[in-house]
Amino acid sequence: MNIAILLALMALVGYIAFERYFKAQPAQESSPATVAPASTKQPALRARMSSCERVYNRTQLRGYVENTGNTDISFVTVTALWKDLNGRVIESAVVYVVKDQVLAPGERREFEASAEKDRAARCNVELLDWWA
Amino acid sequence: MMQIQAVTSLDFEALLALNEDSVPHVNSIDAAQMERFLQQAAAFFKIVDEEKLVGFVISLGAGADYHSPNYTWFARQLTQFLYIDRIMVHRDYRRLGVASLIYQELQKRALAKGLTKLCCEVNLMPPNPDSLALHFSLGFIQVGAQHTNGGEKEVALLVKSLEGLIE
Repeated sequence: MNIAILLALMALVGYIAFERYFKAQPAQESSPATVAPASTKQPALRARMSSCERVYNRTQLRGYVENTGNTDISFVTVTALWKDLNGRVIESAVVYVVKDQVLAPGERREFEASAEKDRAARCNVELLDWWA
Repeated sequence: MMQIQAVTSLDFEALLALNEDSVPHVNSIDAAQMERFLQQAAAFFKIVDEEKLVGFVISLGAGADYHSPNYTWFARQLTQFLYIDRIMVHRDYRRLGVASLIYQELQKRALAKGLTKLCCEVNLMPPNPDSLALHFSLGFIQVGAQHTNGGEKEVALLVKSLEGLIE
């Protein structure tokens, strides 16, 4: 019985050694030929609204743009929108969020804008244009 | 007599003033953005009459670093194109053929670069019937439409094929 277990263990160790040294090595040898692709420029940007609240007789929108790509972004403009209860746009404004500075990958830039329409019930924000 | 001239950064002050005169029909831009357009534009030139600036155009080819809903729409549909970002004409010179002159020059420059599609957008909502009529008369056809500004604004996406004009 003990001999059987010993033989099984030896077979297992032998199999592991075979897998590690004979099968794995060719893959390691071939790896220098497999050049990792150069990272391509993948610009991506998102605009989000953080809050929309009444401040006296104005409706204040706060939001941010976030660089979700892998390259620097600049000259970001967004459109801030204020809507009534029916979802109809009653006011809009273009906000220049990032000028000739750089918004690096992963970075956020906050902005705010106010509408004088006190009947604004909802706010929203859309990307207008940007450079990457 | 009207002349077509290249734009340099020395023109920016006058170009920006002309641009601001057309806001909100076009986006307001500053000198830094204009410099970026100058670096990347496929065609960026001005029209002058006796040294007075009467119009200008900014257009981009495929592969520019620019991102906007309309430019992106064309970039997804076409492999090569000349996208007209904006054409500005001084209010005293409208309906005098300045826009047509700009389009003739754009067409020449597009063909010289081997580009066979001119494209641009024109507002449907709020309506801009004069601009739409001008573009149709110049041979543009509507190939799409899209809404922006939370659905408040709708644009017609127009293309003019220059394929029959290649010599």
